[in-house]
Amino acid sequence: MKTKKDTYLVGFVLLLMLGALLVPYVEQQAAADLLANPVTWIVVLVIFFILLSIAAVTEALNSIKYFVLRREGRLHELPQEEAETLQDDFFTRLWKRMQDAKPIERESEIELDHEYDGIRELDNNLPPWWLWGFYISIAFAVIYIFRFHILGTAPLSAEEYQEQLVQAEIQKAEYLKNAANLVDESNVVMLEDEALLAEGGKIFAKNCAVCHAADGGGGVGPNLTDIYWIHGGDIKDVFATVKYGVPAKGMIPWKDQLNPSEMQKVSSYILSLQGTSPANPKEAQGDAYEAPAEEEAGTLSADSLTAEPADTTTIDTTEEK
Amino acid sequence: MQRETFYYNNRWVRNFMVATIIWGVIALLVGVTIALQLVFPELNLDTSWFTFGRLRALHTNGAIFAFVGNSIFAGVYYSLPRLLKTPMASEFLSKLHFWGWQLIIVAAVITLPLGISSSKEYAELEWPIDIAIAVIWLSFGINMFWTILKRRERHLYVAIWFYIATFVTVTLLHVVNNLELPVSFLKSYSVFAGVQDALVQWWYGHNAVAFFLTTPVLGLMYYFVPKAANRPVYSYRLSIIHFWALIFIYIWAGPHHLLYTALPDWAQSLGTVFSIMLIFPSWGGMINGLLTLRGAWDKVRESAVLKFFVVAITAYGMATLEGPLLSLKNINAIAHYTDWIPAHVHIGTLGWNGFMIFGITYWLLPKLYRTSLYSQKLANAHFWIATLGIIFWALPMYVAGFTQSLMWKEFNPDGTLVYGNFLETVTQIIPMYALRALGGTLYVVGMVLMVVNVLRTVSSGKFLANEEDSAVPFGRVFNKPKGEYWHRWIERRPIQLMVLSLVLVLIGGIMEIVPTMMVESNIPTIKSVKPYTVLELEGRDIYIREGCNACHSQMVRPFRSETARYGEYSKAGEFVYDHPFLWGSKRTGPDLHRVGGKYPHSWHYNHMLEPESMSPGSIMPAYPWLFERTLSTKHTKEKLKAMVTLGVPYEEEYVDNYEFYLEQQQKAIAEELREQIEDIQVKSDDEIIALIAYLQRLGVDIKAKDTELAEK
Repeated sequence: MKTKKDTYLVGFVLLLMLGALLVPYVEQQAAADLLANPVTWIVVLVIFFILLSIAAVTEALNSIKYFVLRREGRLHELPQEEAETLQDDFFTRLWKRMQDAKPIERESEIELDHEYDGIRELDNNLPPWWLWGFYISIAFAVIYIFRFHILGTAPLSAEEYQEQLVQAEIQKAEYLKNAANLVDESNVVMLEDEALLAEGGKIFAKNCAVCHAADGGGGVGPNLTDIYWIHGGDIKDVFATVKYGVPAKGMIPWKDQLNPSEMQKVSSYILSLQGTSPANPKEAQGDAYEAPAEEEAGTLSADSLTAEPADTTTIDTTEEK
Repeated sequence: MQRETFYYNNRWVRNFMVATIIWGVIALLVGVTIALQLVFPELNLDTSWFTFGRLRALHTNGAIFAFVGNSIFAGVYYSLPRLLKTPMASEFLSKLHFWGWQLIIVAAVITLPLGISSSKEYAELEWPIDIAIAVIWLSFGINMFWTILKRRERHLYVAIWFYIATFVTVTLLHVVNNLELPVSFLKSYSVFAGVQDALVQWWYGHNAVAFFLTTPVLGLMYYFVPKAANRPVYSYRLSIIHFWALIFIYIWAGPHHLLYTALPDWAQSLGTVFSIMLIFPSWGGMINGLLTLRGAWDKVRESAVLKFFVVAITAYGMATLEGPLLSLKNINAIAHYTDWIPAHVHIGTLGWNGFMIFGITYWLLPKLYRTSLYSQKLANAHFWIATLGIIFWALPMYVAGFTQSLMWKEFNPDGTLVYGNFLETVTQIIPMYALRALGGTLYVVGMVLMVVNVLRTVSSGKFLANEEDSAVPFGRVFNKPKGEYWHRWIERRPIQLMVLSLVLVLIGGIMEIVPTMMVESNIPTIKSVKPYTVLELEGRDIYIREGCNACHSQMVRPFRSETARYGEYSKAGEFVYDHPFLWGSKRTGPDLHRVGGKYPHSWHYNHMLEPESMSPGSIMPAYPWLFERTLSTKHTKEKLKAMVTLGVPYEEEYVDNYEFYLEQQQKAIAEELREQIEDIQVKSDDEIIALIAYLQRLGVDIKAKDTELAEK
């Protein structure tokens, strides 16, 4: 039975689908401009109100018809369901329409003439909300494939990734313009500030203590409290060892897990352990290292890792991120 | 026609129900165990057969095939004869089916903890057991069809359509996904490799959910819900539309498990759109179930059976909305590999499957024993405890999944990851793991209440082994009533119904799998990718044996947050020698596809021996036995030969002299280890050496600079 309810539904869904069809173009600048333009929205609103008015007038005419019929005592000509529906408020009516179920009292009208092991079946209509939901999901599927694989307006995984990288580069460049997190092994200096060393200590406890012991006395890794160093004992050497690791010997690179400022803090902390007495010191490994007297910048020791020349921007070591 | 009297055999129904309950409790206890292992890793007991990686497969297989599987059979053996007005056709096949299925489960209980596994999720069992499953499954199908052919009811009720679709589709899925080349009695390699294997696996994995956990249970719903509520089914035409739409669309949706992977984009997109189109066919089942209860809601208040059904169907509706939403790429990018997915799955299994089973048990067992349920109160208590259990299970996992995903993706303004150490994102969510274990425990407590209730009920009644019924057989001649609904035509033709179901499910499978196999452009080859060395291959088998892929993926997705953490994203061409693929589906630990060369051998050595020595706070089990066992080379040559058969280009000379190459690499690694770790006691033929060889190989082929060129 095709009724006016269905007509409204069809109209509504068609509008929705029309809107959905526009989705592929939203990314394009023209469409975006169009959506940003208040005139577009005014037009949409006007259309909406016109449709609403038409619906209201039709409803009103129907109601009048109903009253006229009643006055003439021909109520029975209206299907009983519709007569009942007219007494409900708007939302109840909407709900009933979306459901389109036979009321329980009259379900015998749609009971099928078979039963299986006592199980009977009714033949209710497909709920309109369900049916239209199904149609919309199919429309979604068509549009989706169209966008990704025919129009190519939506990015596939690899394109999406490239875009992410570009955005990331822009953000990073923006940040680096103002920030000073540019410490590297060529310009790193020993930190003296107690608070910063304490932070370094925390990083040490979290990441390094496993192999080098909580007090730096060594374990899997070498003792860090004595003056003997395998890869150099200057702050720059220690920084480079932390940063790039010594994979051949089991020391992992930390450059992906710690940022330069953190590596500076932890390297400084490590050097601050010089001369302390750990509980179980590991035997000395490597060469004795002696800091060049009074020379703050320090010279590169012979076995330090080659580093790329650094950007010599002002270093603000208190900057954390 | 004369009215005929006959007897339904209730024994197999009862036996399958008992098996459901026993295996259910066991499978769920294993679940609670592995949930606790994630909170207290020491519960792995340093014992090979008790570690998470192996027990996880036991839990999933147990829950799906033992718990739900037996319940399906119980339901079918009860409902099918009654809907057809004839007893099950063959007592022998029923018996074979029941005992065969239980034996298969026992075989799983033995082999999975021993690490005998093909590594493919929900299809881990090795080839001899796969064959047994096929035989037993066929015996079930034959028994079912034979019964259908002997029916006294001309038309097939909707429940039976679902049973038939289940039978044909599961047969198809099981056979294709388990195509494997045996190497020895308990070892085989998948005939598919890499991307293709992944597609076949998730076509299977997804549809194991669809056609083992969904369609048969919908069939049960169509029988037991109207029976228990004593209400007519809401809409016959909705049954028709949602049945056909469901089976046709479901089969396509598998690739949504592989979004953003190396699977070709077109296949991913098909997975997404068919998942979205699946919402309403799934909901058709939910509506038909819930609206059948129209006019019975007053009964729901008192009846535990109906309460279980209502929550089960609602959980089904929630899971089948959530699933399609998870198939959208932007949501999948957040949820995949996290605990959100287990949360989603458990809404389905604990909510939909479990509660359907409990409802059916409380309704059916008293009937079989001609008595009434011992305690409605206890059943209601079960209902509330189990509901609470699901909430405690799922909510923390949603939180955990979301939290961890956001942590994985968070960047510092300087372009480094905020949580560069994966472990930080794990320790963050351990409290959620603890809550989840509590939820699981509550659920099991509920089941224990059911066991008590069932035992008391059974002891108060008398089992009705042969139940009398009578019916008039239908004649040969059928006068089609005027104005008959078109669908009635196929309802009286079971064979045609089966063939049509098969054709419909074949369409989706063929459309996705065949092009992925045949069209070369789908998997661009990379020149620098070479087969594994013989030692790496053996290491890979250890990786499979220990179930490493239960917690570690090998698939770096093209996200900045992943390439920053792991390295270059994974390419289809890198997996061409991976029989089977090992992409994994969950990252309880970090991805391993680019772990090769990232750490020194000594790091892996120490880490496998005692994970916390290298990663404090790690919840990974220790693997001390890898340091004691000698690598078995009994089947090594067969393995290489099998790989050659499957198309992996090993030179003949290499296969013949494999021992030389094996020892050469073993010695080299052992030597390096001795240099790196003082006083190390390592023999070059220890299993750990093979595993290290494999781990160090992962993802390194493509690190060469010329990859880009080779790929084009």
